[in-house]
Amino acid sequence: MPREGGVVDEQAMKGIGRQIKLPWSKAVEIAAKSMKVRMGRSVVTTASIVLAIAFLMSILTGTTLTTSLRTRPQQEVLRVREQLEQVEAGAIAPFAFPDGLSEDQLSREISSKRKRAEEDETDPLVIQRLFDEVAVAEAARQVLRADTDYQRARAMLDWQVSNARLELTNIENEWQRLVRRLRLEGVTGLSVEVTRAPPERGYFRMLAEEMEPRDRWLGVVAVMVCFVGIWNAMLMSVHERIREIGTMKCLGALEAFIIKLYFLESSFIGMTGTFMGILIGFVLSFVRASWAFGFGPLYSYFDFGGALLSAVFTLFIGSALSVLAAVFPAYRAAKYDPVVAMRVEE
Amino acid sequence: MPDSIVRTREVKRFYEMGDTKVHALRGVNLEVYAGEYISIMGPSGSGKTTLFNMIGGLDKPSEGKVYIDEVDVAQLDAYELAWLRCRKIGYIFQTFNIIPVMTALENVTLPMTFAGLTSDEARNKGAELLDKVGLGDRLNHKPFELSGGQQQRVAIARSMANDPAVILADEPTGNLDLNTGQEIIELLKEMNETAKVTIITATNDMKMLSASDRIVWIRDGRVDRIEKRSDLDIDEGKIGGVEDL
Repeated sequence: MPREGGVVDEQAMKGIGRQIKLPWSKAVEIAAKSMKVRMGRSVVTTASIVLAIAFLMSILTGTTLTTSLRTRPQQEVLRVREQLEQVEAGAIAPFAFPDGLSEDQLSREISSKRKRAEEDETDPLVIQRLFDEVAVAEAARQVLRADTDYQRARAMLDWQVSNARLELTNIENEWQRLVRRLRLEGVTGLSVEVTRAPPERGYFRMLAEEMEPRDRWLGVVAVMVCFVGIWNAMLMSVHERIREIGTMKCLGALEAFIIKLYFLESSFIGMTGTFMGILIGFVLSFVRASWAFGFGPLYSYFDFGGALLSAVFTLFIGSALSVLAAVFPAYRAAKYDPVVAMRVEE
Repeated sequence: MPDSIVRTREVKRFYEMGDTKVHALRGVNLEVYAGEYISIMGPSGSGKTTLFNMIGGLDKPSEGKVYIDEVDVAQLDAYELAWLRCRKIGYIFQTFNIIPVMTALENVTLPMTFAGLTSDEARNKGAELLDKVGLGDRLNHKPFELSGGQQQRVAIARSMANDPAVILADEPTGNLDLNTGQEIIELLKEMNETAKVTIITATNDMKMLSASDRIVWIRDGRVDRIEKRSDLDIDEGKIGGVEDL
């Protein structure tokens, strides 16, 4: 016999509980398992993210490296010039004079370098540097020969000036070589003459001003590829598991749990891909830049802050994308009606 | 009179398809008592599966009421429905629906996990259940390492995970050969007798008749007739070999 509604409600109160929410650890366990089993597909998805992120990272790092190569040497040239002026005015503390130098040693060095500069070398930059080195050695010999304290102090000052000139020569020569290479790489608007240093800028302002339009466009494309890749992978993953999702719901899984599963899966794939992409993108662009500009200048003018910010920025984009791209598929998975899900043929 | 575990009152279900209304159920009144083994039979398209989904809380009626353990299913929110599916109802499917990435034991313990059991408790209970269905030596086999009959045994163990009041078996023998199907029916009957769990099957398998206490025949979205096993003219020895009780 049908009972009265009131009785039914009363019994409902004591009969039915509310399903508990499962801890994240369980979701992590299950998500990890399903990724392990579908390793092949997970690897392909991850690879597409690695590629896209590596591409983005190499664009950012490339811009950062090129920019640091064209700004930092100029700043350095100006700094050394200023230092030279100060030394010539006798205004800064002396360098430490190297101990253990002998007059004979210095004389031998002077004659061999002078001979090299006058007879062997043809490159004017090298010849100039050799003469500067001779000047430093001669000044050092003067320091050793000086009899009185006064003479010695004067000679020390000469030695310092020669030293600073040598440094300036070196750095200006390096800048000239860099300019040639930068021009070969398509960087325009560079002058061998350093008159004023490019400004120190924040990372994003630097990117906005230095990134070429083509690179900017390619970066956007890389990001979109990454986004669509994750989205597609997650949709596929949902689709091939519709029945599994339906089964889980029949066994008492809450929608939130299903969403958690897909979120974890896409975040993990996204994070792994992003980290690997950042690493690969950085290494590739560094190797490429050292092939183009030489490892020495790249290392000495390396913009650590810029590289770090590139990595952080890329990490942010990669993670945001993988979470965003998972939203819709995860929601779709969770909303599947178990009845519909069960009817799907596999 | 025994307690009713599932009760439907004038249940109707129709689907809108364009301008036409397709009636799957046209008003079903049915009462299933605790501890019964009941089979819902009918040709495909009769509304058998729809009724079955209603009883299992998988689908909601367009009109009428479905009570599971005297609770109106339509009144439940998502959390309560999930709780119901987890604790009160065990599902068995024609296609087994064992989760392929998990071992037999993990499949059985999943509903226990959803119910909040600790891993150790679930592991012990799961092993016990798998032992009961005759798979005690295959706890860590993956579904693809198991035959159809074995997979269905895992599904039966899984449906028993949280000591449900009702097991709903949708064509449990539909994808199995004759002998394996018979074994599964016997196993269900055994669960019905030892664990006192109510079993409701939707089936076309005549082997099921001998195991059932009552058979509900569905036709054109209505209950055509309900037969008690004692009324059936079946020589049980020939059909299933199930002993008369």
